[in-house]
Amino acid sequence: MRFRLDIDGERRDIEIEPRAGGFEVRVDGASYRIRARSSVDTVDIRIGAKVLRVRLQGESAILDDGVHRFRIFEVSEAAPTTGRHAGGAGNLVDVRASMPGRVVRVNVTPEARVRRGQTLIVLEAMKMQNEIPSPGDGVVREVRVAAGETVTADAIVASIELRGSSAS
Amino acid sequence: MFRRLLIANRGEIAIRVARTAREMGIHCVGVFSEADRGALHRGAMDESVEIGGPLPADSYLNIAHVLRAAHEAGVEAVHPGYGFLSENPTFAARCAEEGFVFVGPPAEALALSGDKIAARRAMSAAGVPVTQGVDRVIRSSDEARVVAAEIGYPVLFKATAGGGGIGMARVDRPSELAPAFEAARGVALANFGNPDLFLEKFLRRARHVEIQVLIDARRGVGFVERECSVQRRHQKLVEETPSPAVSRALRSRLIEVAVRALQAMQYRNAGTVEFLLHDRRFTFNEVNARLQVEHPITEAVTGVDLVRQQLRIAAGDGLEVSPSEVAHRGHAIECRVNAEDPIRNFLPSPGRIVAYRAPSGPGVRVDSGVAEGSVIPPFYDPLVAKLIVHRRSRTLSIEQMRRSVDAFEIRGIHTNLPFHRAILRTSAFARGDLWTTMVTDLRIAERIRGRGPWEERIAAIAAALVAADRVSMGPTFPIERSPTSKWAVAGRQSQLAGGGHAVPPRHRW
Repeated sequence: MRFRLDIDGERRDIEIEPRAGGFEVRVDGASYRIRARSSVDTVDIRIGAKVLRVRLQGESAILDDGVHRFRIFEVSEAAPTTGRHAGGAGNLVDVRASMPGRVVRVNVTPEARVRRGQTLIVLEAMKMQNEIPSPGDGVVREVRVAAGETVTADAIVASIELRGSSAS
Repeated sequence: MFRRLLIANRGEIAIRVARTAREMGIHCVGVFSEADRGALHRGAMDESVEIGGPLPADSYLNIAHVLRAAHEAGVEAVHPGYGFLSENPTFAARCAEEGFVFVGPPAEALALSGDKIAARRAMSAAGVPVTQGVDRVIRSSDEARVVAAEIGYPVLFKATAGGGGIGMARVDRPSELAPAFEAARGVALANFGNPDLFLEKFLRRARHVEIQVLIDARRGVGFVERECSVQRRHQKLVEETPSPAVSRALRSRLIEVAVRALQAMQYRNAGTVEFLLHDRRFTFNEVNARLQVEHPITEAVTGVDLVRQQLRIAAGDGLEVSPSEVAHRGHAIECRVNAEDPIRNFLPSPGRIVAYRAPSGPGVRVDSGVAEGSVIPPFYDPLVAKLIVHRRSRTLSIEQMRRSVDAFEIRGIHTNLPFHRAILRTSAFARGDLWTTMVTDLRIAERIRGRGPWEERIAAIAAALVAADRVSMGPTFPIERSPTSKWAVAGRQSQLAGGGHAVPPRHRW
């Protein structure tokens, strides 16, 4: 399962999978093996040798002495790096920015044929360039950014219509 | 001494320079780009001037804009910090032409140190051992092949106009040579406007050591070496002084050679001569013609304020340190805290810092460019803070650094603090067995699992939410369109109902 957790004003990507006797929890890619035991209003969490008691009250999680405000968003089953359009053509996928930054180059135009892994867009942040690849073989249906623009993390930069079964 | 100084930089280094300058009674004028209107460094100045758009080329790298600010503010001198215009000979020359003292080396010395081939030649002429290689531009991959066969693989392409580790390409075998040559030329052209490359032998398991020098018209003083072998993609991440690999005899040789090298270049002000230490021999790497990021560790073990000395030299007031005063005491380490995510291949992580708490205490120094609420723009260097510790011995420094890294809390962006936690716990680091490719050779980044205490708490809360059945599948709706989330409503309903589920879901340990 995957969701976004807004916690004390910070937004984090959570992935959580059941594992023997517990969960594997990933917070923005950092992984933790966790066992959880819940009772009426508290959940006891064990991470390694540490035991933490979490009390959930409405939109607050109380952990030791700290009260953290949380909100949950965008719950989904899979862990896609590209989001599928709801409804519409089944094999149209959104390509998202891997990091916030400036678009230095757009390598493709709408209707261009692309192959899996081909660089669509080059982003730059903090003197480092990052290439955004095509998630599969297909045709570019939309390019939403232009060179020089600034994008936020996860902003949709293009959409690709994947060909055939590579859509999965 | 100057009465008014323009500090032509941003972030932690602008703040650090202003601290000393204001201590000396100098009125400090800062500069900032449109993206830095709310930046912390503005508050460290007596006044500050906006110099253009967010892109470096429109502001901090724009000579005309910076000089206009200098004229408007009526300063006598310009301190360039590091990066940006600090090693630009044109900028240094223009400052002089327009009547400002450039706090750094003369333009001619900058031109010489910036041309890596010319610098190699100058070093050879001054009797400084240089790394095996060629002192000319390599024109084709065929020529490179001949040279590489002579000096033996692995070899390293370097940009003649390069710096900061950009434009370097290691080649392990002949088949990789031609593509590496073309790629490195492209990178050099894009970054420095000059595609020229030369070739050096790549030294396996070499250490990076460097000598800080202060030099005025009368004399030069070299300080105890810094070791900066912990690097990733030629970017330094951890520095320490003294080096665990340098004996007293080697130290005096390095210092003697470094001072002689800069004297031969007619160098003035603060500069650093970098060496590679390999098989108990050392060879010249390059001259860094600026105040360096890692200068605080030298300040920690010597007690010398390097910025104060820079300003004194530039003002013609002379060096205040005598060779007998440069004796060092104890051991210091610096960790560079970058807005990069070590778990996602060090991807840049600009954004807003929602919580910030820096470690403190005896022997702990934090040079930071940010605070709670700071927005880290994506346009500049990822360095947000430098954590420096100083203790009696290397072992005690490492222990102090581990504690200080753990106590450093920065939320809202990702930082490389987990990387520091990991490297500080390797046995190689503890033994002082360091080399420039150790981060990749020991797969340090791959060993990082968790991020830190705060992420652990987030993971715990996330697991608790799932265990308590507070997260369940539903249609995806983006945050912008959901002022009141379904989960929030569910939460309130659950509270109204007395909280919890009638039959709480159970999970066994």
